[in-house]
Amino acid sequence: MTDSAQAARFQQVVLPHMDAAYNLARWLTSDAQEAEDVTQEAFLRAFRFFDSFRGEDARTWLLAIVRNVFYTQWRRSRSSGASTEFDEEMHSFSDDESLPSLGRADTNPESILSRNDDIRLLDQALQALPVEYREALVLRELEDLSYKEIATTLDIPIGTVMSRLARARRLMLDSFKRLSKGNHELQRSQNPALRVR
Amino acid sequence: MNCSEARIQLSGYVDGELSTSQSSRLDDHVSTCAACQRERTVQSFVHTELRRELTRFHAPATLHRRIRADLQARSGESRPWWRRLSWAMLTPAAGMAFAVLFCANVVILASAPSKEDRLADEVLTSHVRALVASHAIDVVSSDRHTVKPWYTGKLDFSPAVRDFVADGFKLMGGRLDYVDGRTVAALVYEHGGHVVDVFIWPATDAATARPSGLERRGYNLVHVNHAGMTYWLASDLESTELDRLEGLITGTNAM
Repeated sequence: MTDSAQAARFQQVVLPHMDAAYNLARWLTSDAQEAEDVTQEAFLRAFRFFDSFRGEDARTWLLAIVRNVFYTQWRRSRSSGASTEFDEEMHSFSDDESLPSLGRADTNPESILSRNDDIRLLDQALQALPVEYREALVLRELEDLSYKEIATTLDIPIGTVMSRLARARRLMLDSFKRLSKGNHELQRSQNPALRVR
Repeated sequence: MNCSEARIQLSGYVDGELSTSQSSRLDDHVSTCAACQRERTVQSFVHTELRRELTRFHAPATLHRRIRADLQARSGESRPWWRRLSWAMLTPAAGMAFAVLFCANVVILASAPSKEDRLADEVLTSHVRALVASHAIDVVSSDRHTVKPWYTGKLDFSPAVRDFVADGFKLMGGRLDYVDGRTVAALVYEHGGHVVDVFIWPATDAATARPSGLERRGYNLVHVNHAGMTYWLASDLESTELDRLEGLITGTNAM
């Protein structure tokens, strides 16, 4: 295939999935600027390795590259001490009934106050989940990938996709409830009329 | 089935990923277990809420520009300037340079190509490219109830998907395409052995409320705005037939 035909095919097959790529990067990095950088790097890599793309689903292929860029280059190069500690804290819970406490970083009153409607709170509840649960939910609920496609993107067995999503949804509810409660108590403490003596 | 097996499968149940026999075995367990019943409600609730309320971020215009500039640079490295033009035209700056060259050479033309012209070219290029690259259809189905949901989560709008098989236009499926700097829906119809692409995206102006048709390189194009959406039809079908499909889509065919 000539260079121009290759470029044309790339534009046709891969470029339409820019929103999907950016959305995943945005949820992985939690930051608009970093998400742009990760997406840009992913597209560069995708173009470089487009020869190895064998016509399987382009979106799944691109999303796997986005993830790869995030985990291999991005995350390693950044100080991620806080989030690692956070992850381990979450992992120490194996029983569904002993629900984890959310990390300190994500119960910061100001960040909750600035996004105090339920939709923002829902976003924030997802952002508070460990990254492996977060990415599974993003691929399933926002990108509408099948279990098979998620398994390919995350490079895990389909059975693991199922159990991870089950756990992710449970954690999501707990995270949301916790944030709602925190938000409510904060508003009450700042409003003297509602303060309980 | 015990509770821990059931807990894992509840997500598969909610996502429609279990086989019929798995589902019925799970149903049997859940009907006798209040805790798993509660957990199924949780799974289904979170699934529905996230789909409805969670933010899906869209790539900002700056990122579109950065990535297109990258691709232009990479794909153009080993090729002469005239081979690079198709990529070069994708960036506004290079597009402007091209327009200047164009006007300098063809003095009669006093202005750059109109937006309508530019879109017609883009639509036609996408149509032909899809035919040539055998990438006409991402979701192959004549069932609009399959095609429409396929677009959910892939676009920031929901295209109207209809079949006009009774009028000779059979829905073949749909794909994502890229026109006018954004991701658009492209529905694929078949009529008498001809392929028709119908590109759909939200209209940014109401300028072309009345349909306009044009002919390029042996292909016919029709552009119309309808119900807040821009429609571009592209095919090698004769223009009267393409007009007829436009009428079907906008519901304006004279009886």
